[in-house]
Amino acid sequence: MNRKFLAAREDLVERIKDFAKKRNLTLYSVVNDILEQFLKVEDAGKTLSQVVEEYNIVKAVKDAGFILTPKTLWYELLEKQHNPDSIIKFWGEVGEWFGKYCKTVFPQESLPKLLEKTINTIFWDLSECVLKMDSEKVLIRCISSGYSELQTNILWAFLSGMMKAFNYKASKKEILKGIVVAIFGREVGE
Amino acid sequence: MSASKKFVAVRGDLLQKIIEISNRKGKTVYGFVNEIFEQAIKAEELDSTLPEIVDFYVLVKTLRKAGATLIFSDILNYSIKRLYEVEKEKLLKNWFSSGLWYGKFLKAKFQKPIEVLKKVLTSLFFFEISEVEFSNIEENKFSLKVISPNQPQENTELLSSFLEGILNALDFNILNRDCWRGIIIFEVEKRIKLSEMGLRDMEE
Repeated sequence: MNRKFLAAREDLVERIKDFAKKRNLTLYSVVNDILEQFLKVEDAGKTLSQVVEEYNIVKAVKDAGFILTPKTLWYELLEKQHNPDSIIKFWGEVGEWFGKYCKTVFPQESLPKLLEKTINTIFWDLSECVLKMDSEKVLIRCISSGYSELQTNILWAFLSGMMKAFNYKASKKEILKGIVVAIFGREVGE
Repeated sequence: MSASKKFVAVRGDLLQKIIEISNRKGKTVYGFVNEIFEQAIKAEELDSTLPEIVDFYVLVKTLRKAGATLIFSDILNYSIKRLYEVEKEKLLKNWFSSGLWYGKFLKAKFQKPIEVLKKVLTSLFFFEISEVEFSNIEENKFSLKVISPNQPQENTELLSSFLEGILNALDFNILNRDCWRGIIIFEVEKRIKLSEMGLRDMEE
C-alpha cells in the first residue's frame, strides 16, 4: 500500500503519537485506523462528533444502571403487571434519581440539551421529542404512536421525575396515549 | 497565531477518500483532518478508542433496529420477580421465542453471528453479563458459558431460555444445559446441513 503525507496541527499529532506509544502501536497504524473509522461513520451518514457524543450518553445511561432488553419481552412484562401503578411510581423515582445523576455527570450541559439527549436515548422509539426553554419555563413535547397508555404514563413519570431533580414542576400538562405535552416552571422557593 | 503543522504518513487510498470528502464538504483537508483527530482524542479522553466507540455505536444501532430497549435494571428485576411466580412457563416460552427471532436476525445480518452475539452480550450490557466464552470442545461440539453474577435466579433462567432460542436459530442442538444463579453453561452441537454432507440433491 503506498504511503502519502497529510498535514495536521502539531499538538493534535503529538497527542495521537502519545496514545499510539501507550499501546505499542505505530503512529502510521493509529492514524490509518482513525481515518478508516471516520470513513465507516461517514458511510453511515453520521459525523464522528455525533457518534462520540452518542457513545458518551449511552455509556452514562449504562453506568447509571440501565440494561438492554428486547422490547417485546419488556412490554409483555409491563402489560401483565397486576399493579401497574407501582411500576409507574418506580419510574418516577428512577427519573428523579437519574436527573440528579445527570447533574453530577454532565455539570456543564444545559438542561434542554441534557433532557433531549437522555430522553431520546432511554426512550429511543419516540418519533418526536422537542424541548424548548426560556428563562422561566420549559416546554416538552414527546410523541410515539406505538406507545400504550401505560408506556405513556411511564414516560411521563420519568420525565416529571427528572424535571423534579432540576427543581421544575409541571404547571400545565396533557397526557394522551402516545402523547406527552407539558410546560414546567421553576418550583417556588428555588 | 496559527498552530504549527506536522506531516503524518497515511495510506494513500485513505488520504484520497479524505480529500474527496473534504472537497465535497467545501472544507480544507487540513481543517478536516484536524476535526477528525480532535474526535479521536476526545474518544481517548473517554477512556476508549475510536474503533471501540464506532463498534459500540454500530452495535447499539443494530440492536435498536432489532427492537431492543433500555430499562432500568431494578425495574426490570422487580417486574420479572412479580410475574415469574405466576407465569413462569409462559415467560420462559416467550423468552425462547424472542431468542429464536434474535438468532435469526443475527444470522441474516452478520457473517459471523457468534462473534456478534458475544459482543452483544458483553459490551452491550445485555443483562449485565460480565463474561461470555464460546469454545470448541471437539469437532462440531461447543460450549457456551455466560456469567452474569448479579442476576437473580429467575433472570438467569429467562436469559438461559433466550440464549437457547438464539442457539437454535444459529443451527445448534442443545446437548446439555446447566443453569445456576448468574451462571449458564450450554454444551451444543452444530447441526450439519444435508448440503454439507454432500447430499445437496436430497436437500433440494
